[in-house]
Amino acid sequence: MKHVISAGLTIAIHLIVLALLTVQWQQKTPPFKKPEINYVRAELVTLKSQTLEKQEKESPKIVDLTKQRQEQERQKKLEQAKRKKAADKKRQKELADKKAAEQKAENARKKAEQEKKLQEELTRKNEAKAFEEALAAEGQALEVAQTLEQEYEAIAMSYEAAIRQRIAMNWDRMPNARNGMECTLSIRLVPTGRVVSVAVVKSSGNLHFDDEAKKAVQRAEQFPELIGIEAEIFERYFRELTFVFRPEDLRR
Amino acid sequence: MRANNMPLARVMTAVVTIAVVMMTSLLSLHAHAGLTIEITSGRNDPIAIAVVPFDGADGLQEDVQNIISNDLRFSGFFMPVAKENVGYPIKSRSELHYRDWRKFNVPYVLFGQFTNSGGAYRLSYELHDVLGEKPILVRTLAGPTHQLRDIAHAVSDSVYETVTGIPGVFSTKILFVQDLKKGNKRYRLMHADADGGRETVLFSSDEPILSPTWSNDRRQIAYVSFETSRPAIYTQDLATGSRTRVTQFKGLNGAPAFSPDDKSLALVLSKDGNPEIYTLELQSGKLRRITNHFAIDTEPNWSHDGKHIIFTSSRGGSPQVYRVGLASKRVERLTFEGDYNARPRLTPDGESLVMVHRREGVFHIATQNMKTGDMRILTETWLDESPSVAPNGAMLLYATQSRNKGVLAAVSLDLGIKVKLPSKEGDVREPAWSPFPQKSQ
Repeated sequence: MKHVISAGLTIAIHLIVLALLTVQWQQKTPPFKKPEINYVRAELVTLKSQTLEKQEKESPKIVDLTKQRQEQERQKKLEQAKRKKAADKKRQKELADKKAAEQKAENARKKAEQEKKLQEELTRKNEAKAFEEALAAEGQALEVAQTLEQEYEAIAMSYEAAIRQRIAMNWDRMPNARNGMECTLSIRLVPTGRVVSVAVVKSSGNLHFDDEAKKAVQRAEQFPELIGIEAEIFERYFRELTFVFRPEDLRR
Repeated sequence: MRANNMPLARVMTAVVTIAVVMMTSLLSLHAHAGLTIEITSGRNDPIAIAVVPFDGADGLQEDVQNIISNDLRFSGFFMPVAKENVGYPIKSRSELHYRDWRKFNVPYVLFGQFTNSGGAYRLSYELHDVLGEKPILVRTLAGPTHQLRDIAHAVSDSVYETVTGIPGVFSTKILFVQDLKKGNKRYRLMHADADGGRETVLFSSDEPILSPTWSNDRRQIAYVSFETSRPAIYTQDLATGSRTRVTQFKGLNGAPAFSPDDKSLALVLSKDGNPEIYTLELQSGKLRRITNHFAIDTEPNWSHDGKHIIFTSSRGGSPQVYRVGLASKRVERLTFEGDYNARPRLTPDGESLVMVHRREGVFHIATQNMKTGDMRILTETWLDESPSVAPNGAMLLYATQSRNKGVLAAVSLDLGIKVKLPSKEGDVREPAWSPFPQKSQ
């Protein structure tokens, strides 16, 4: 009984600490009052942004459609080469797989035998010891969770670029579209990367513009790069997506 | 001991429960609502459209399906599906299968039926949105045989406007100069549909004709003619054909442009030494000199409000585009990118400047945003004559060379897609696109 109570207490304390750390002590320190120096700083910031603006004005943006088209052609060829390579690889893989399958069946039989032995050994082990080990592991859990969080985010970002490109490739802009128009869409995906719903969350005020944004998503239909992504990452970042369409490369 | 243990155990259970609840609620707070992705650039390609042959169109004097396909292709915004791939006439909506078109990545399908009753044709047509799986345009037009081209262009206009949100220009007209290169009256001033069809001769001469231009009310035109062996500027009434010589000064008389109210012409005269910009009041004949510089000033264009004239000048050492205030005579340089910017034209909305632009030794058609100065380089070009902007501001017509012949070509200002018009006898050059017909007409 004593064991159960102390174990319960330990778990509870661990959970509370973990919870508090997750929330990251939002009110950790009282607000620090800064002296007059604040004013100078603010002015410096303003000055900097002004020079930036001025620079932007002095060098107008130049969009070169002829170069874009050359680049498009290059990408198309690359894509074709990639597809061919993938097909070749697939064929080779199928051959290798066939051979491997036979070997695998043999290996599996051996492995099953081994595992059975291990399992029996494990059950024989001291249960209390196993419990203590589990607690120690939990101590590291927080650290692991944080690294995992960063890792997840990095992975999500790498998929983001591919998704953005696929949408851009499918986005037609009408001649009445203007730079700076903005339409926000909410999209739902299933784990195969297929789009199951598209909704306008914030209209640009121009129905043609909103419509073309929606069509870009409908035309893309699916983001095949998401196939095979870890379920946890999919749920967190890609199940629900927000797309903001805001052209910067138009004539006006 | 045992009696004490029981409540303690309960407390413990409660603590654990609270902790677990806290954890889960905090984690759910932490749960992401998914990524937000910003898309700031898109495709610059024409949109596929299937123009299905109209039911009952067999044996008509005009190939309506062909005229519409060409119109849409000519806009640079659409890429009609090849004739052999559009299938058979669709007689009713139930014969339209969205999935088939979607499979071939065709987002728009146009179909319709012709019926003939006593010499008059009636065309009922529908434009369908394949992704949205719904009709977005349903209309009926009627007219006699000789108006089949008008019917076709009206269909193109409505399709273009439905998809793009701006009016189509397929029912508007163009002027151009044709040089037959042989015989009497080899130079001809021509009037035609925007696609080059139904051409008529407005004026012909043994001597060159240059720089035709429209008045804003579409009732008259102005051009330069060498018929007296010296250049002179003429206006011509389109309804009556009557001509008026408005200037014939010593030296150059060139590049006429009607003011927004059609009461004045801007033009180039070299009577005072070298080419300068002038304005001429048509009613009174009052002439005003606008520029005064030893360099060449030419190619005048009126601003939207009629208060400025945009022109090309070599005053900075290389040709660049400038703007002069008619009241203040103050001159302001507009272009700074590249070592050559000429043939300036303002789009009808006044938002963009279209010009021939040279960078790294290559000539391009480029647009410049009048507010921000941002530029778009549309296409490489060898064009040597003034481009003319369509009244909807989305296209540009210009003269170019194809197989050693002068032909007309169009480029879409937004996508930079070039399309050549069918070639004609001799050389064709100096196109001028008409304004839209006025609403009252």
